[in-house]
Amino acid sequence: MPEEVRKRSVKAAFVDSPVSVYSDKQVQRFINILMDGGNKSLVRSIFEQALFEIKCRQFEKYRKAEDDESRSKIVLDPLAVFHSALENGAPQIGVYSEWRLGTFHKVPVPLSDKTRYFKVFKWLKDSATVNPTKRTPFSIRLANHIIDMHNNEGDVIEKKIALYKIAEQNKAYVRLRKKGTL
Amino acid sequence: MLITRQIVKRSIAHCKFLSSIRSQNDPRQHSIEDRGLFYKIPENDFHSLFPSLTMLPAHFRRIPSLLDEFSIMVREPALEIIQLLKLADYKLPPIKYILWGPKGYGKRQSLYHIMHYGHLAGYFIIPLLTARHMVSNHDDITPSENDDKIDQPITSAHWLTVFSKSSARKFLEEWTSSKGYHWTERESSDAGASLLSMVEYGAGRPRSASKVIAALMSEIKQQAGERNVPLLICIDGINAFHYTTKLRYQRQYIPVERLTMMSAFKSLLDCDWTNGAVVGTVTPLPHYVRPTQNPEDSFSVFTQMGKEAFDQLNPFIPVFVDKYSKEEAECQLDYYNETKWLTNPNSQTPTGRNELLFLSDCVPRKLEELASWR
Repeated sequence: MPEEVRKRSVKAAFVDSPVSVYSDKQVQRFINILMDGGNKSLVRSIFEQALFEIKCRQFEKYRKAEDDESRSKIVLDPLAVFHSALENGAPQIGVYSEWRLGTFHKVPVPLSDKTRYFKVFKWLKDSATVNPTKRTPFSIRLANHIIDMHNNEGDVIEKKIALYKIAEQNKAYVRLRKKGTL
Repeated sequence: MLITRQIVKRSIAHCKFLSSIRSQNDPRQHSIEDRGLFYKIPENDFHSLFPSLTMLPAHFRRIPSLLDEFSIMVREPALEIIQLLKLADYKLPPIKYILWGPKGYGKRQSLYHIMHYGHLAGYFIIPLLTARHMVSNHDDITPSENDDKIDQPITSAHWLTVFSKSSARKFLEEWTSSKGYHWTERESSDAGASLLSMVEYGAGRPRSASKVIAALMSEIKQQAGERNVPLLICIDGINAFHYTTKLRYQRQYIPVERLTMMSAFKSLLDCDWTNGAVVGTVTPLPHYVRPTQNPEDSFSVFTQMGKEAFDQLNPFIPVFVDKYSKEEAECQLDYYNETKWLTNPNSQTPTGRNELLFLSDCVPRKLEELASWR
């Protein structure tokens, strides 16, 4: 190491550093959110199994497709499905609480990228945690929800639409919005 | 689209520049030059070799429906055993060929290649591809009526249904039993009945299925020496027959000798019959044996199989299955590209490919895991 570098302190690289060609920031963020108790290796393997499940489902769809037109519309890459699912599920407009004249009012506001994606990740995690039969593994539940989001259906899209409704209902309070919030 | 071209000399080092990674579909004609190339098992053969997908391990089951084919890479261990099968003297007791090696290196794939060769070359194949799972169902234990032994009705009946639909069916129709068997008070089968009728009876009556298997194996062993057709017994997990099982009856672990079905299959590994061969894979470090302390030992055949299995199966021919060579791994990635299994655009770049080779260290199972989502 050159002397100038040695004199300064050098930070250790993150475990998630983008050394690999396949690294993806969104994926890393989602894995961190899914993680419980610091067990990142477990969550990574669960997510990779979910991606495999998505790939298998899309391939099955591809095999069953009858003509070239429908075949060209099917996305085979699981990460591409994941990204399109996030785009579909992330709300553009959200709501925050503003204290005025004795009560809280819900004020509609455009969300930043950071908040938008956090909302999707949280909704996806919560909906995948629900396990009514207690027989489906977590990776398969995740895969189910991601595929639903990719097709614009499912629990997460319903939550997004519910949020849009609340923003629509409180349209009048837009004037209460402080400059620079969210 | 494949552009095929006649190549006179094919060197494995030119794998990347091959016009095709496909070999011809007949394992009887595979040679050392086909090393690293893929060949496809035709659908009819696939259904007769594996009538039930439960014969394959979980991570192989989905492949035929997803890629529309079941292809195996031609590798040295399988070629070696096929060559030995061609040269063996079938008037002597059966030779045991045992594929061993660390986990995920390709023992099962070699076994399937050999099974397909046996099917095309006209062997009478007895598939025991779920040997370890046969001793894992704790609900399946019933004490036998007449002996001190223990039956496994559901597993036996399932195996008999699969056996009746497999490639051995045509031989079962021809071969007849030499004596009559009394299954229960009212049910029996006569001498001279075809073995297929016995198998179908056992498949329909789980209560007597284990006894049917015991009778069947003894009949097959007796008659193998007199017939023209050689036997090929394919076992996945041959050391499952040489340990006290994890199954319990009356608070005691059951040894394999006490299970009617398993002891019948184990009798096929004895040397008291002729005109056959046994090909088996070792399940390395089964769950009921602790790994050894010394890491150098853990890769010898002796430790992989365990002392009991080694002593009881000796003499046998051990065939080591190694991980992919660099060229074979490149061929595997070419195969994935051809079937569009690698969907990530980064996998088509040289950096992406090198990363996969580096992370997997050319171990087949690891490469498959990495490619599963890329």
